[in-house]
Amino acid sequence: MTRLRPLILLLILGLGAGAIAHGRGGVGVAEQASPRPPGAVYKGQAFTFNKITDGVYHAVGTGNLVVMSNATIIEGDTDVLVVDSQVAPSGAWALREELKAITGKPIRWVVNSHFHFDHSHGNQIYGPEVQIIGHEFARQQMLAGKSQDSPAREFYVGGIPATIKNLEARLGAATDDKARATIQADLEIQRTFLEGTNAVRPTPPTITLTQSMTLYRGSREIRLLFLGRAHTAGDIVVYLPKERIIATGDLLVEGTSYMGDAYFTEWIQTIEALKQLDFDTVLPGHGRAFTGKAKLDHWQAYLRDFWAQAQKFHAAGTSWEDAARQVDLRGNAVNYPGIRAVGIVPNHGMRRAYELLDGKIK
Amino acid sequence: MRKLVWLLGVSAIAAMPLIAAAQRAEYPLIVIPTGKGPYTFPQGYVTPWDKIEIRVTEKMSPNLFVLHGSPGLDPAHPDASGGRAMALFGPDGVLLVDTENRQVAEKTLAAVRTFTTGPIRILVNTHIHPDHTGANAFFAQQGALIYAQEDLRSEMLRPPPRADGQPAPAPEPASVPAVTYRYQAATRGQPALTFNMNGETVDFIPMMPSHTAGDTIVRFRKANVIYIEDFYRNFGYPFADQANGGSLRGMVEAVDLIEELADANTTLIPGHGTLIKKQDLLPYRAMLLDIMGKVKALRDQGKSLPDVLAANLTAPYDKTTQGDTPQSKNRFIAEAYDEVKDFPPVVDGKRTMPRR
Repeated sequence: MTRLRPLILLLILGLGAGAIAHGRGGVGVAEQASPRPPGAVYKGQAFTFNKITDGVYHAVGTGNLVVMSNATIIEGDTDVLVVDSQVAPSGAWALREELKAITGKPIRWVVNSHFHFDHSHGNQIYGPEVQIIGHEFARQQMLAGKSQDSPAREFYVGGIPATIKNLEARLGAATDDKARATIQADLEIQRTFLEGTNAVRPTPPTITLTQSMTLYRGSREIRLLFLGRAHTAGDIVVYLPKERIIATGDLLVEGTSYMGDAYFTEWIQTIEALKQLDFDTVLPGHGRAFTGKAKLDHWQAYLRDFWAQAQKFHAAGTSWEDAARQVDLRGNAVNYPGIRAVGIVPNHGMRRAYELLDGKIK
Repeated sequence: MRKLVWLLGVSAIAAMPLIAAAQRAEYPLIVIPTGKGPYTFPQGYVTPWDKIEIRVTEKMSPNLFVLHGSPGLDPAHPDASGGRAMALFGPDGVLLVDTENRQVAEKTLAAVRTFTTGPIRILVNTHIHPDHTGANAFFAQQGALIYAQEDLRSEMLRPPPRADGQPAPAPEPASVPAVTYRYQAATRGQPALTFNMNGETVDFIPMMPSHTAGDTIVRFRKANVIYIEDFYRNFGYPFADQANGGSLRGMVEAVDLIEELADANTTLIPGHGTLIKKQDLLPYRAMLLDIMGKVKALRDQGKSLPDVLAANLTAPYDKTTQGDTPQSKNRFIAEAYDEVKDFPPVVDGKRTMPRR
């Protein structure tokens, strides 16, 4: 059940704050709909498009469809760049369909902020007319099947069948009509989620970089930057220097970021490099958009705390599993109110720290 | 009879590797060789663009072709008009390396259309010169996204003044690269971007300031081909566009990088002249260093440029240098002379050269 809790939480919160659905008749209204991929069935809107400035939106899941990550939308003079392609073709398709209400310009650029399944598994809906850009490391990981067969995906997606069974049992037991309707709605969302993720064919970026590139789309200047290893070995930050906006993927999120593929000490340095950029607004891969640079300090402090404790446990000969149960990050609760208890779930971050400390990963 | 069948079978199996080898050996396929000259053009000759054809001149693999112009008509490039362009084609659309001149844009597209109907998606500029970028706007209007080094974009947006000192005209907006990357000494030789399309892996490798400050070479890994553009040439003497940030010294560095990146079988495709292998770079490099050294010695003795030109330093190379003209060798010597001292630095892809 502890495994299921984050899943259900994700569903309820839609992985973000965007609970304000527009309710403009769902996706059926789209005139030139491309073939609807499996699982792309939902009520209302799948995304709320939060306008950041003219032509820049932070697309956050409503919870009506499980999309698992935010997208950043950047309009140029003739086309659109989208950061991240969600957890399945269903989510990417929903984004593309709903975007038609915002702009008539086609999506011509998709950037994968990193290789993780929840940011790249919608790539397959985009044809050769769309330039899918990622770090070379992201491409290599996806080609090696690492986006599909990963502890992160197993943790966040592997439990869906059990969740469905659980909901079916609750539906059978429920007597109250209102409760039944709620469970039924959750069940539908879970079923389409499963259907969506089963349809994934991991499709790596076609264009890769290892340093940086700049796109000039009319008056819009879009920089794609690799600032160093961090959340993974290939995180790309998308930077709009004129608008003073950055999209950070999972390198920096509203809450705490997954650490199962992290390079902890380099992550702290990479955040330092991020601080050197001139920006006001951060559009993260998870959670709400925020302003200012305070969260950069918060996340560095969290990483330093975690890494220092991991080193102590490791030196003391504590197993990584025990270390994950004993690590006390409550000192960071002032910045991350979600931290209430000792221990870290999922425990992948501690396993990763041990692998780094053992020299198993360079 | 049974023995005969058996023998035929064995011989067929034995022949298989030979057939495979023959298929590999088929490339590069020279369809139309570049002209050898010598070419002369009367005073006041005007290039007859309507007579210049753009054709497939070489095939590097079943879906990687080279385009080049007619010989004997374009005094800027008499061996074959324009610069080489390349097209990688297939189900993912067309990736173009360079365009021909603006005047033959339609003919270049028509040449591409003889072998593919695919949309033109990507165009990379190896350097700014009009025989390589002249049809940028035309291909952008066909849907191509133009990629280049950031310095090339700067060169295009803020062109050096004309020879007469007048400001150069602003570029057509559509001709300016839409996507850029930078050369960084720390990652010298590594691709800035890698494209995976049509079964090929294509690397855009930004170069140090060499022919210009915004050079890119393009490597096709599967075909084992590198487009090395114009820091090397075997028709006429070496040319560095110093006003656009190039230098002969940088061209030596560029040649040295190719030594590292290419293997003995890699086909190197210069923008002009004939296709080569990396061993062919050695005499070119030696000539560059020899001339640069001799020019420096004379200038250090206080010789003026006319004195150095009069010394006819290229004489040992004239016989083996195709397309040798007084203009070509004098330009080369003058560049070597300018690099000896007070050589202005590169700023934003450009170098403010002293006016003579």
